Amino acid sequence: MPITNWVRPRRTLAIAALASASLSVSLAATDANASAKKSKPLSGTITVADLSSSGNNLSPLAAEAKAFMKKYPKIHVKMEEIPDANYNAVVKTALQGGGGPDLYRSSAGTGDNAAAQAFGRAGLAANLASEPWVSKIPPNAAGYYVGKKLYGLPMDFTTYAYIYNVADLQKWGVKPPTTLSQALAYCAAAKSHGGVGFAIAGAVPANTGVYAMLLAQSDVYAKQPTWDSLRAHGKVRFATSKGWNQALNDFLKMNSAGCFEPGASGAGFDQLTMLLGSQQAGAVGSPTFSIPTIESAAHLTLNTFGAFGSGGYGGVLGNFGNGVSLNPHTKHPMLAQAFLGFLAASEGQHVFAVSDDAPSFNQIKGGAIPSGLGLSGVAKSLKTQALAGTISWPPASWNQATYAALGQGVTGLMTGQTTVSAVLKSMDQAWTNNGE
Amino acid sequence: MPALLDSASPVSASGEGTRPPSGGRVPRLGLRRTQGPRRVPWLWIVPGLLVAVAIQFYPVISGSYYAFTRWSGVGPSHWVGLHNFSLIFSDPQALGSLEHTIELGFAFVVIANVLGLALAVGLGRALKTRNFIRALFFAPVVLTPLATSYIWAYIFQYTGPLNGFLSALGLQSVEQAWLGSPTWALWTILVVLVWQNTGLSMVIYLAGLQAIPAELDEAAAVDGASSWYRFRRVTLPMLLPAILINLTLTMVYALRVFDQILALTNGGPFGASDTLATEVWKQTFVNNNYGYGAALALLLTVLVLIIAGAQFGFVAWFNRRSAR
Amino acid sequence: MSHFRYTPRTFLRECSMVLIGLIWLIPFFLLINISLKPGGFEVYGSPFQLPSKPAFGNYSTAWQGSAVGSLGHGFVSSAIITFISVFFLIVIGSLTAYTIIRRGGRGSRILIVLFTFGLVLPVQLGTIPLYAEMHELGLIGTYSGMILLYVGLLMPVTVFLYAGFLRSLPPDYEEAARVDGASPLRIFFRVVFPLLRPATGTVAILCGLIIWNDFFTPLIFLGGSSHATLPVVIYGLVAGLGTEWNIIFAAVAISIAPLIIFFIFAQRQLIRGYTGGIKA
Repeated sequence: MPITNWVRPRRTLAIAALASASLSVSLAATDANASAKKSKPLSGTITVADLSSSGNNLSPLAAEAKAFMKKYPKIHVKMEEIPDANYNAVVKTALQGGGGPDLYRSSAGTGDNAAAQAFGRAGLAANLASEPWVSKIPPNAAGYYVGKKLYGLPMDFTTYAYIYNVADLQKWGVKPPTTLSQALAYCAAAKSHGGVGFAIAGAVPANTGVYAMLLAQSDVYAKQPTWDSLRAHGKVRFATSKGWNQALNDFLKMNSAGCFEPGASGAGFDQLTMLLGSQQAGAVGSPTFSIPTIESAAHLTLNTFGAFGSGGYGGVLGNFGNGVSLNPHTKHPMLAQAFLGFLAASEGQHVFAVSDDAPSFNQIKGGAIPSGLGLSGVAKSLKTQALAGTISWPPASWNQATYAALGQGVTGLMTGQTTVSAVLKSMDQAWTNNGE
Repeated sequence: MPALLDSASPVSASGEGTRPPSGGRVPRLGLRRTQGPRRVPWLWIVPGLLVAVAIQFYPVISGSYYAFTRWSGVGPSHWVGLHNFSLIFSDPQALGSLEHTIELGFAFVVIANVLGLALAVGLGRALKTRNFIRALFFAPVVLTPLATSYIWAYIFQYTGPLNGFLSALGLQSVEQAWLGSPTWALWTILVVLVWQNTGLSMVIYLAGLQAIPAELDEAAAVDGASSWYRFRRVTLPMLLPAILINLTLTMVYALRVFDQILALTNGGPFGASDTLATEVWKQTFVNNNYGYGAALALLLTVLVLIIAGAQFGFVAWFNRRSAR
Repeated sequence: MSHFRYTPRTFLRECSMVLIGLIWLIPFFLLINISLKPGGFEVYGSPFQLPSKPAFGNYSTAWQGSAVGSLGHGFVSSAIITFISVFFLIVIGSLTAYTIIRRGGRGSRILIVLFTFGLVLPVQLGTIPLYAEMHELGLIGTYSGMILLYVGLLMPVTVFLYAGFLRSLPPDYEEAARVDGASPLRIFFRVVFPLLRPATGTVAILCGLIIWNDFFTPLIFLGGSSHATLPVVIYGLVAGLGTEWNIIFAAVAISIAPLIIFFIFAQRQLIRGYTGGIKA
């Protein structure tokens, strides 16, 4: 399964799963200078590829296209929306064939759908380092750079943490945990009141992967933010890493302490929504952008707490999940660049933010996150880490097989089908085996 | 003994051509010797043969080659000899998928045939609702396997109807996370396969039963034979054609099952319901290990060919025996 | 006949068969019942309870699907690919089988064995190089690529079915036409092909069903394109709708409705097609 498969699709309907709109980034750029520079009005058609949205919401880039076309009526933007499961293959194939969309949604790093670094190295994304808006890009967009070359415009920021039901924790008399022992105590309190501490979708590797990563954030990355690059240079391995062993053992402790719902190993996303919405589960580990939707659908108040583990409080994970890249063989470079400029400017940022209920990166850095988003519990961590440049989502730079090995391995740990060392070994194997 | 599998049958398993009934007024032998432009030209098989070779046979050979290479799907492939196969036989996941393929295959063949036969016998001639019930059982056969699997995914949920039914019966202790249980996940697939395909076995057995003259059975009854004895000695032997057709159909189908697994468990948990077919998909099209995936596919192909070959061989031997 | 007496035992048998039949129906009941449940938590309520207010709107939501891959598109794609593939299979397959059977001899026997091989060969092994090949030819995601694929993959089945039928077709009419001076092609289309109607019916129905319901091949060769067939569209819809069983079931119901209708009308022919091999 692709890494953030479940993250993309947007839902409008009453009960939304924990996967809808993404956060946006406000680059606080002034109006696109590109449009002012044009001497004669640009006209023509460009194609933009995005992940397809479900329900009646437009995909973010489709919303952008609409706004853009209103401003520049002579330029027609044709949207090509592709389901998440096939997005990578379809776009890659089209670009490799010399055709493909003029602009397309890309992701940071190397492991995910249309990963900017991978595509850039393969010559499938144009270098944007000399665009006029480049100076406004925040530093955490490392996932879009290869050296000095910029292979995409980062558009939104996704935070990964634990979403929790404020009322439940109050009822059970517990505070959001910051260490593993506090978390286990929280689970016990939940159980004694007939609820469950955490809802996990055991049948979905993407979700079990998030739980593992949050524990790893505490046990591995909080102390060593550069662990991944050490791994890339072969200096460390998953199997021999004390932190990683610790993280998966923490998971086992949570599992045997009854932190998860009965039947967790076969649960899908619908279980998560149901459990959280019906107030049976206190918390869910997940990306946080669906909080407003769930709140309004289930009439709850949600907040977030950060990564706990044996290693203590680890803060949050996050990355510029989504961006837009330019086809290096585009037949309409000026039009495409005009659209990019629009996206980077405050107007484009505004459209994104409005359609996605998300704070901008500057709001994160400035500690001024709007209140309706349920992020007050992690606002401080977000700010600290943002300023220090230590927010990351490591799987974005892993290959898909490694994250799949982690996600599936965690499911196997839940059912007792495998052991911690076997899972870590399989991650190492996947890391080295797969050339992609 | 009736000839096994009339050669005119659409689903005859016999591969040999047999001579057509010579009801013609003109002797065929004489005409066969005729040369000249009036004969059906061999040229006519070219389109059909070409497309079958290009789409099916040549790619299979080509795929077999890739089984011995390491390839990411783009660019050149690298020869690695038997490396992929040693990987398969040392990887518990791959071996597990082989095991599951065989388990699922045999279990389905047995259950679908026993149940199909039981239903066919149950739907005797005298029943008033016969046609209606026959349609009921047969209808799922034509439905899209992927789509109907989602109904079962709902049924097997932890908070779904099956567990609900069990607790209504007071059997809470039996409740499981069916789709997430390493023990049960594979067998949920079996349930779906049985529900969807037993109707086909039943229909074939019904036709077989109908072909048995009632007099034989009645004669045995008059002679005082018990119904079970009649079944074993009269009915069953005459059902042999139907049994063999069903065995082939069900076995070949079960070994290749894919849609239902993807819809229900996606091979999980942790590969507990993975078969060779789903492993091939995962390795090739998700992980981009085209060479390894081809090795798995080759293994699956060999397995299917061995089993199908054994069945065909048995049928051919049986035909020859009964023709004596 | 004495055996057809309707005894009390027969009545008991009838009742148990009806009971089993009803159990077999449960998934269908659930399908319709859940599909009509309104959104919200009712979907997670008792599965056997009828919906408080049947939400027929679920069906139109399901029909619209997502921005790409609506059910309507899926139907159109499936229809185009199925009908055109079946057409070519019938024309080419019948010609091929006819030639093989009428020419006879060693070559014919070899060809029959070859096509029988093709019947059981799993599709996975060939898919890998096929995908690379078709990618290079630019046929991925196109109707023509898919049709070519199906014609090739189902040619063995088609030839097998036609050959079986042709073997028992007496060549009298063809001889008569030949004596009259007709060319082989004329003989085939004017004389033989009309006689093949039963087999053609079986081929059309069996191959049509296989193609319509196929999932694996279109997933790989059409996935993500705007030409995705119905099963692939359903798969994508469910992936995006994970929690909304009511909409999912509405989509499933819509997609199998034509198959149910087809089944009602074509049941006899279907049964004949599958059971043609049972003769005493």
